[in-house]
Amino acid sequence: MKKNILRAMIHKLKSKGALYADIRWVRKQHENISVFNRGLENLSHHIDEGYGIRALYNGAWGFACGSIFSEKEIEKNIRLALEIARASSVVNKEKAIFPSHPAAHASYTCGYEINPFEVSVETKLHYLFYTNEILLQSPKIKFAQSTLDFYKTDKFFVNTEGSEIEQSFIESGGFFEVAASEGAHIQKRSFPISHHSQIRQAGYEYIKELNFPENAPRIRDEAIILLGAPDAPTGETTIILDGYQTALQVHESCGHPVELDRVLGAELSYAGGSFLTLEKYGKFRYGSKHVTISADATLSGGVGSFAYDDEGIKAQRIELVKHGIFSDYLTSRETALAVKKESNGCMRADSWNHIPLIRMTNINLEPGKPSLPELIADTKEGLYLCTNKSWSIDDLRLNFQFGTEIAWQIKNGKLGRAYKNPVYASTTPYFWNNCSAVANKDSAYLWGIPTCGKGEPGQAMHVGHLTGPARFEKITVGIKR
Amino acid sequence: MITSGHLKERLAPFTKTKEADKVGVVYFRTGLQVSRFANSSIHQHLSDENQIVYFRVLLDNRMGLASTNSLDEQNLTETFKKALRMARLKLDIRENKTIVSFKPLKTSTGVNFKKTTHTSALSRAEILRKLFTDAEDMKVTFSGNFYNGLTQLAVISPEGKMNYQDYSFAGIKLIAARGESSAYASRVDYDIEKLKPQEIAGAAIEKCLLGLKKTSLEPGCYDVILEPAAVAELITWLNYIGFGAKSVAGETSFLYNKAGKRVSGKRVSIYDYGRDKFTFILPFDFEGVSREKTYLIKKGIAGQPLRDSYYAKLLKTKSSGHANFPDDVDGPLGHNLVMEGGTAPESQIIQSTKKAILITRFHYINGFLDTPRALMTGMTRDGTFLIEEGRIKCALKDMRFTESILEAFSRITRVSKERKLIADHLETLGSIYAPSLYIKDFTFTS
Repeated sequence: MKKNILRAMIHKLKSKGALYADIRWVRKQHENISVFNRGLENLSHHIDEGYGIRALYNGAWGFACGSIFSEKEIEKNIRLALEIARASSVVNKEKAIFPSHPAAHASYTCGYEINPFEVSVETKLHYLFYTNEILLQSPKIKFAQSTLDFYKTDKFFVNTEGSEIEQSFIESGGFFEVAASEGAHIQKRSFPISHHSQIRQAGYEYIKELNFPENAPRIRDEAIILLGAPDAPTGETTIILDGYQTALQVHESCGHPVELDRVLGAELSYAGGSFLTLEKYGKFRYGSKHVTISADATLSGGVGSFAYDDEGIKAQRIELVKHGIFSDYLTSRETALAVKKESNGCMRADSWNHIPLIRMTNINLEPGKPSLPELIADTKEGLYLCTNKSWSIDDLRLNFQFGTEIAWQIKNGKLGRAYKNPVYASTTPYFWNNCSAVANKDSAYLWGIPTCGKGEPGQAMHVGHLTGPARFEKITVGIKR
Repeated sequence: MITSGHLKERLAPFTKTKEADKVGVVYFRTGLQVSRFANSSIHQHLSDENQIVYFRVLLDNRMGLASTNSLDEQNLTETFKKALRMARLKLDIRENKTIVSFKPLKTSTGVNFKKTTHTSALSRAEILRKLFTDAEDMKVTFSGNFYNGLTQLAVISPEGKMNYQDYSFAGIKLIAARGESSAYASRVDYDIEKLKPQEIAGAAIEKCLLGLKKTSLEPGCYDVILEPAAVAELITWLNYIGFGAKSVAGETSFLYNKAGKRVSGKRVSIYDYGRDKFTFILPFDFEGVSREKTYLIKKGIAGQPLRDSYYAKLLKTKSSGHANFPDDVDGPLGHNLVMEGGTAPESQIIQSTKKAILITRFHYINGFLDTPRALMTGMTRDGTFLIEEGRIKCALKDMRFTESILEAFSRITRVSKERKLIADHLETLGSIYAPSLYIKDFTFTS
């Protein structure tokens, strides 16, 4: 790492008149291994390294970045960041206000037992091929993919306030998916989540914990069962979401609308706005008394955990929804002024060449009292919906429609037959106000999603959710053309 | 920007190694200058440049792949050695991968405009200031982005031959807003001079002012007129779930087992062609293979999926030149998708409409509901209107559709003659050239 170069850059920005500036150096390694239908589809290793300069100058912001550490390049990028800021000030009628913050000095490394980059590729491939083989043990299986992902991120943050923060993260994870088909009919099942790897701030020990081979037969067989299953019923019913679908629900209908930059309009051209407008702050009934949702950047193992955010603010735990009342936003130093508060430390960039944005940390649904079996036993009639399949929500995060891979009938407190193609739809406040129970902490799991999209240019952030199953009453299910 | 000559000089020598059977190199770079604004104020203003060099190393039928964003000699050597170490792993597995040899293609010219790549933040800001000031008079604010940049792609074959292409690009996206009304307009081009921001602003403002009072429609089936941006979003999802050979090999695609059979209406013809003059050209794929004109659907009849060398082998056919980034696991995809136009002038489609919903664009489409049927859901956004007797009657609150898009496309009754290039260089590589469509009985579920 080039700490002295970065320190010198900060001095230069200061001497050139930047009111505030920060520089993030980031080095990221990513290893992806993917096996598709008994063939090695991808085995790749990527390293990405560079620095991003964010400068407040003339009352406006500018950002430039580079990956070459020569004096000439650095000088050019410092000049560019200031020029861009000056150009912003030509347009903006109001000067950006950026509250000062005491300098922080810290060094942080996330915990892990086995460095995944020191585990042999042969070991990883054996794990994936063995899983793939189990998945393909039926002629009805036409598609089997098993994947592992490992990330190592090293960051050094320095700003004009004197902060110097060094952080290092290791993340490990994976997933597998399988599709069974018969004629033109096809059904998919995935584990432990769908579409992408489930990741943790952890080492290779987490891959062992995921235990693909033990779970593969059940998931494969469920895909085959779905081929003969009837379509999920339509109408209004009670639904219980499994922990992963609850995570998606929290992510889309709480995590995004509480991002204060969205509320203030910063994402109107892309991700959209939010129905949780400023006048609702602290008083809006978002959900039932069972609903308490927190943002916890200090949660051990969560991929939304860190020591300091990308503005030099210490990681925090806050309550976003307290017993159903909307109580806080995710904020940055600049946006927090809109609610007369200090930043709660949610600014992160996915890479050195991108600016930090307000991002979810680990957004968690606080557990209730019943276990999952008790929750099901307490439900007369309904559906137990497992593993997200499709997701769509409007630009204000109100009107949504989600699908899951499988639904299990609930009748008189017992699980019954499987249904295919389940879909449910609602609006956010109605849905959360109809939450009648959340399962206990033993039923909760720490999910890690590596693909949360936001910003232009697009950024894919790693965010966490500690969630278990939850029950919702009078929900519309089965919308389909 | 690094010149093609310099790239070849730096990267081609790695293909001469005697330590491997074959070596291929891919270089991709994008440099972006972006003014992003909200509430008529620039809030994110940036320069974003990054590059990636991939080394593919083949040894005893084993492929090693490693990449770096640094062209520094030491980093390149380390990355090459890493790929080599991966290729040396003794694994008893089926791989079917190769590094393709090719005859170099001539680099297309006339697509790299100096003015576009050199436009400064200040120039963009001054244009935006004028747009914002003019809009203020109508109590309209703008959100959106205004950007310019350059893309470079080079692929070096095991024989040290190089395919190289660069192009400049610029785009403006405007969301005009007043009260609860918002309206979208955009334009992209190789040449920043052709963007005509004031024209785009005028279109967005006009639509925004038409939407100040909104009415709700009950869910149900309505005829719709989809503007090109909305059509392009549907094609994007068709591409993702079904145009590529991976989804056909896995039998999840709507094209699986359908070659030569009807999958949609006669008015539907969609192809991908890397040299299509109406799209941002990418004449060759990430294996260096020429991107051939490939009909996915022709007059409603299913064609062949898009292939790279790996899936071509699996499907016992030839590559169509649609290899994705070397480490991408989505498989081959279209980057130059074109939907053929019809005969109806756009204005006539509206004028001849008795009753239909005009949709400017969609939000958050998801096409994973039932991929063999291309069943999708999504919301309308930034300009939804009820057309009656050939005129806009009123603005509508946003609605959710749930539809099999192939079935909906079989109910197309009119396709516009005019088409529009849709691309988002801030989000993804590739572009779509699409017409407006009139579709009967489109299903809205909420």
